[in-house]
Amino acid sequence: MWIILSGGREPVAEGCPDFELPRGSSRMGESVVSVRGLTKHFNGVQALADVHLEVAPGVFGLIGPNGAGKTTLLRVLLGLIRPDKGQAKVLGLDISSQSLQIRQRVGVLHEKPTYPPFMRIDNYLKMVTELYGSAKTTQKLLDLVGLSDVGWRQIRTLSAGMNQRLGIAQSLAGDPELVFMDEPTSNLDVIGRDEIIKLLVELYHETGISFFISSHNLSQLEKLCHNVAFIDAGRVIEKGPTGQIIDKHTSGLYNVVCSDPKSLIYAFESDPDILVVGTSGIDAVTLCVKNLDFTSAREQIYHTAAQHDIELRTFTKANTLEDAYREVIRNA
Amino acid sequence: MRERLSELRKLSCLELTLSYRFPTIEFLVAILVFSSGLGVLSIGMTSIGMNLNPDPYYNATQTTEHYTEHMVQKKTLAYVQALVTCTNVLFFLIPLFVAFTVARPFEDGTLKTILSYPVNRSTLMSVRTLLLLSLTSIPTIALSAVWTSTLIPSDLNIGYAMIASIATLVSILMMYAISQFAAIISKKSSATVIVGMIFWIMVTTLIYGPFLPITLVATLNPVSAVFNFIVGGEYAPTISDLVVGISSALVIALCLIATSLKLFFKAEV
Repeated sequence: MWIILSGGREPVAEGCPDFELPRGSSRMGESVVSVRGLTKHFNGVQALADVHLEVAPGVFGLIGPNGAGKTTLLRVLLGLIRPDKGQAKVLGLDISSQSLQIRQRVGVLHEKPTYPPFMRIDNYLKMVTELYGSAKTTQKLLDLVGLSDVGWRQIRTLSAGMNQRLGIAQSLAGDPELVFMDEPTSNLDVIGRDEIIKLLVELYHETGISFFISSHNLSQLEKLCHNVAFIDAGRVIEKGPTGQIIDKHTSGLYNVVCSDPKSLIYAFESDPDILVVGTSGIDAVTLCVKNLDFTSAREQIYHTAAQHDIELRTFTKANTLEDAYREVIRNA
Repeated sequence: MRERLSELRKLSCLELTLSYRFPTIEFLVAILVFSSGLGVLSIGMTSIGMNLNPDPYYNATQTTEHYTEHMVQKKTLAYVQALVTCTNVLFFLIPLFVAFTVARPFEDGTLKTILSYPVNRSTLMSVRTLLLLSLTSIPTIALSAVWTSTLIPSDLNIGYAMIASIATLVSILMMYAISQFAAIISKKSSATVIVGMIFWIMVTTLIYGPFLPITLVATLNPVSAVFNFIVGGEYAPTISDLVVGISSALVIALCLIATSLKLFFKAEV
């Protein structure tokens, strides 16, 4: 039951091939977060149900739909709320008795964070640095997140992307060993999201900090995380290295774009070897083919489609984290 | 100890920046300047028309003694009246300040951000309490003293002035304690303001008249009880009523603050 999550798919920032992480990184070692049997209820609603998790150093992604318990787990780990049952350690420190020491050594970026709107960015970062008692200069933080040109501006004047950069800067103010991030790209557009992912990969390379990222945006976590865990209804339903999880749950899964998805679903309804998983787009269907390799599966599907006068436009293997997640949730 | 002081200083700077941004303090001081001045003038104006003309039984020494005694009482009364006026205004303002500094950070997520830094919850709450108490009580007492010494020439009855100042501190502490308790229990600024307003109405209306026992009046609004004590009259408290009232108010306020701190320590953010 106890697995140290390490290794796995190496994160790559989109459009940024220089940021590939070294395989078998030397940063791997003792787990940065260790959770045993955490349970939490809110007014009778179970938010966390006997959660067990071990997170190795590196970039870790906690994935789940809205309301799955991601933010609750994060708040418990930071000592903002108390669990009903269970224990957890962050950087080897107990969350119940050593919360202050934990917060001294971690950085946090909350979902939709609130910072004093009328303060200047540089003044706010200076204040946060002083709270941590860190030697890091404001200028260095601004440089790290690419805000050095706008350090004089008031926080309320920042765009969503800049605000998120400020959030990352303040999370790094105390020279943390681990940074918790809750939906770091939730209110950003595609370009903004890519910029943040690129920034996080850069930071990982430059500083060696571990990241614990909670999100429901699977495509970004696939690019970013060494290890992931899926959480649903307060339970961890899958965990492991990103690559292994994708391989494990997408074997035999294919995405087909065709002229008539409805007829295609009908055509495979009685086929014992081919299972329709569901529609994955306006003209796209995901199929699960058992006991056949890629070529044989493609031939069989093309053959059946032709018999029903359906034109197949593309046939690809479903091998993204999103596909794996969909499959895990479907089987859960 | 040094680290503790350094943490207090940092958190005070943070609080001042977050919750007392310009012109909050300036606004508070302006209101207190006006209120204390009004309080002093309302007593000072009663000197106009005072008859000091010698009559057939004129006794210069006795008249001077009476005049001096009158002026000392008047100056003391003016000082206490200034404190009462300011306290009544603060009874209205303190729930608003507490709603803004204690309850609102729960609602807007600022508290979550601050408590994610290496900040001790009890230190944070202590800083908030000390800051608000200092920012309200120091200007109240100082401005009342300045107005009184400027406008009314005489000596002050130091004993009464001391009791009134202590009663003012206890009154402010009481109001703060109630508002803070409401803020932490409800985590909502609107609830804090409503509870504060109910208490404000209670202490500024019920205390006048024979509705409540004198000791209870002295507990609910110690500074007004001191004023009634100096003025005298049918419903004036005795010195023992005052001592019991002020002590009870202090104990209640401290218990509420201690409970609030305990609740804040366990509060889910």
